[in-house]
Amino acid sequence: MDTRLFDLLPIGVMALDARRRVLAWNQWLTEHTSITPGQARGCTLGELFPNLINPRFDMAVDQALQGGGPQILSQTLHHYLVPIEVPHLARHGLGRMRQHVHIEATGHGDDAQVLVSIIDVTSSILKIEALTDIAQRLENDVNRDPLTRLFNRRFVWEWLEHQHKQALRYTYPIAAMMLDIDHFKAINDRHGHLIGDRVLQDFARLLTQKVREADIVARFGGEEFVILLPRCDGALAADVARRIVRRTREASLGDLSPGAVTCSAGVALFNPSDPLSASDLLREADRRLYQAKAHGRDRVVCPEEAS
Amino acid sequence: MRLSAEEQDATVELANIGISRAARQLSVLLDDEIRIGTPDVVLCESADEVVAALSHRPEEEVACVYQRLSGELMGQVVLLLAPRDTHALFHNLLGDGVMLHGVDVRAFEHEAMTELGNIIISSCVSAMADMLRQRIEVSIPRYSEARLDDLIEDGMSASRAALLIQARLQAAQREVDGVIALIFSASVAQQVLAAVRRITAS
Repeated sequence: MDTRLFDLLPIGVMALDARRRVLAWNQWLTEHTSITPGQARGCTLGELFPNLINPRFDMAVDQALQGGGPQILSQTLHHYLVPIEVPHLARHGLGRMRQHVHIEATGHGDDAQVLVSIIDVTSSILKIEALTDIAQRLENDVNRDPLTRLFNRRFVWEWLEHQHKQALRYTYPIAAMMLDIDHFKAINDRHGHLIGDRVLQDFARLLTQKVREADIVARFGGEEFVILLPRCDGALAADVARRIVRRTREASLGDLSPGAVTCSAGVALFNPSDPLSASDLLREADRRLYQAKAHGRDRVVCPEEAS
Repeated sequence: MRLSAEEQDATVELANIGISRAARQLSVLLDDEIRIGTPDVVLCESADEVVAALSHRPEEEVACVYQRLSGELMGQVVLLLAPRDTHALFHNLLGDGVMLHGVDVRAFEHEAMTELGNIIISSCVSAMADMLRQRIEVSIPRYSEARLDDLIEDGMSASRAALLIQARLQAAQREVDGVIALIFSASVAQQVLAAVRRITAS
């Protein structure tokens, strides 16, 4: 075949000999690397691109030469073979062209040749990354409460459904805590909705500061919040709840004086040896929250104290 | 057709050569010590036997990479992984950056899986080419996902038997532990076994 035909291809094509020296270098490669066929011929890729270290490429060439058939280097695992700058895409975090590489050997022994094709897949990666960003943002919006940025009720059910199965399978406990800001309606009526919203935001911040990274803090609705603590026993959950109730009483939420805002909490425990369903777990926590309210608010009711 | 103990040993050794080559390449690629256990080799008479030997449920979804062989050895090689294993592998390999809660960016997984499958298949095929001293042409790798029974039946439609090689793949630094399965279609299996018999007989 007339090797000049390779110059018409919209992909990079090079031929290497069995010692990996360039035999042919097409027009696409010249345009994108500014290396002419004359400069490339007789050199290895390592000599043409001194910073190029790709042991997998060498192995793939070996594999192709040893009768293993065509080899691919995916952009997912390598990003590129030949470094080609694409400066106008740097703002998208893609400074270099992403490449899908195909390697195939022909001939035998010293006459063997390796044909390396380089396909530019940068635009597909840009599209995938743009879609991933959108999906991530949508997922965030759909699972978050816009005022406090905590997780929302929808996420709590989704998380519980998954964790409930895991906890049963791997036998670990999950503690659930239901919390409610005391007399929130009165705070809203007396200080206005703007202050009310700030109380909710400050309370949300306080909750996230009191839990571990793996715990889930969610606004369940209105002034009601849920905390889910995987791999946490009843005693630890009760401690966390008591600390939250005490800190709320001492803090200045929404710039109101300390003590102006208090909260009540109910704690329930999912124990894999005597399992509750996910909905019963939240119902139990809610029942204890109402006991805490009934017993004068600003307090916690835990499993061992509940009746 | 059953394998004698000697044929079984020789076939395991052949598979072992290919799989060790694959493990070396995967270790370089993943920058981790990839261990692939001693392969288990079974000659299956029917598609049902393959499914049974794989000890998966027939309706289970599996991910596979397949390459067609031509030239002196005709047939197909399929590399199988259960999707939960591929998911764990690529979650580990690619990090959280391309994973979303409940939605994974499958395109990246498929691409990486195709390359990994290509490495394992071609390592085994080149070990066979060495042993058989035959030229084997191999098509470019393709990725597919299907129910296990459909996949095996499609791959074996013109076949009566298949050579099944299974091995456990583990990565030292990552929580990756899965079983890879390579299925060589009947015509390939028969030629490989004929060569194994010639070697064990001599």
